[in-house]
Amino acid sequence: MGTLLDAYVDEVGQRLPKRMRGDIGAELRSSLQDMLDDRAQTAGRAPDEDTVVDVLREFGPPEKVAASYLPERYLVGPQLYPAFMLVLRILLVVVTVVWLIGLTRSLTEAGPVTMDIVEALIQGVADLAGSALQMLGNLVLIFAVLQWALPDVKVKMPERAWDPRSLKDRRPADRVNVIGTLWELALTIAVIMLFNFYPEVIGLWYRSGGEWRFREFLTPAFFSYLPYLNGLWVATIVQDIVLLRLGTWRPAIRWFSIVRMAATVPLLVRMWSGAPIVYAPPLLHDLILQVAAVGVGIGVLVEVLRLLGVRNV
Amino acid sequence: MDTKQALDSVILEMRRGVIILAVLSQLGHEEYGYSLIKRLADCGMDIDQGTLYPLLRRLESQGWLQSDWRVEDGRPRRYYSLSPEGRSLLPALKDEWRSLARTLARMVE
Repeated sequence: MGTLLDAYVDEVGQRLPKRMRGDIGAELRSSLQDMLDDRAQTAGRAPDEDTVVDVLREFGPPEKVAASYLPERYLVGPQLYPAFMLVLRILLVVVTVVWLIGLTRSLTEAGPVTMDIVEALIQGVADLAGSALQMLGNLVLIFAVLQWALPDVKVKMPERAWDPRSLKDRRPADRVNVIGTLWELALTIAVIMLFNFYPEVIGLWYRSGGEWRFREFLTPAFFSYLPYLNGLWVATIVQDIVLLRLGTWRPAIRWFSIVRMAATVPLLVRMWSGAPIVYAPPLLHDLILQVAAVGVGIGVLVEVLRLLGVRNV
Repeated sequence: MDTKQALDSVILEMRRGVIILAVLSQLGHEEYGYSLIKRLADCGMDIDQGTLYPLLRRLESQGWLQSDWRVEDGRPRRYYSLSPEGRSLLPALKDEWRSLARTLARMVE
């Protein structure tokens, strides 16, 4: 009987910090013996092993008893969580920017063959996934150490002064524009069909020697980028379908949109540094690419601002 | 979640809210853990050891209670009682409870 009680108290103690073990163990043993005495008095006989088992069962499993003495444990607790999420958002932006720079470099250094570009892109996606995971793991580790070292820390996040009247001017930025998204979806499908199956109709009609002539606009170099472009267009279609189903933007979709748009930049850089993609004067060719790059840049900036909670963008 | 489970969950939350005052109100004089459990049970407030002992330690760490070990009949026991701070704060806690009880009594009529 004494052995069973001792074993129980030991089991509870093993699950407690060393500094708490002695004190809690002594109190636990005292309480258990009081309960046994009470049962013995009621039964009119000395407690036997069955009585001890009943009392221990009533007390509960050792792990449950030990846990009741310990504070709630978190990897990243509620006090640190807002700071963790803020740092995570900032680092995700940094990782994406660094990745884009790396991808741009890879694409400009890739060979002229389409497969080289696809290979560089696949490697780029793998690099992004690896960097993001590594960054997330390191961040969780740092905050877990902070949580363990400073369990009672309270991180006060800066509070913006807020005027309820500002709600009147707000647009529901997270609500999906259904008509706009349907248009985008239809146009993207049309673009895929056009560039993949009817590229020969993309051109310019011009008058020469009294006759109308047709000149195709796209060079063979353009078609080496078609797999990449198809990938971006398919990603647009997937995004639009998800948005139409959900009806609202979510942070994950905004991230997807940012990465999708930003992935256009290395392609544009490659197009600019490589062979011309359209039959046009060099100045016009470069202007087309620069306008596209500015458009992408603005699109990425808008999505980043919306992700950070800036309204009316 | 079924109806009984939902009801039990809310009742548990209500009891958790009052258990601290119940414990403090019975420690005007010294009690050890098991005697306090029996005293509370006699008043109609059942509480299990797994809840009471950690609560007593928490109240002591917060300054409401004080404790000391004593050996009686060859058995060491830890006796708890209200600390001087606890004694000075308990009347305010009781007043707050009475006010809440009156408010709730009006609301549930």
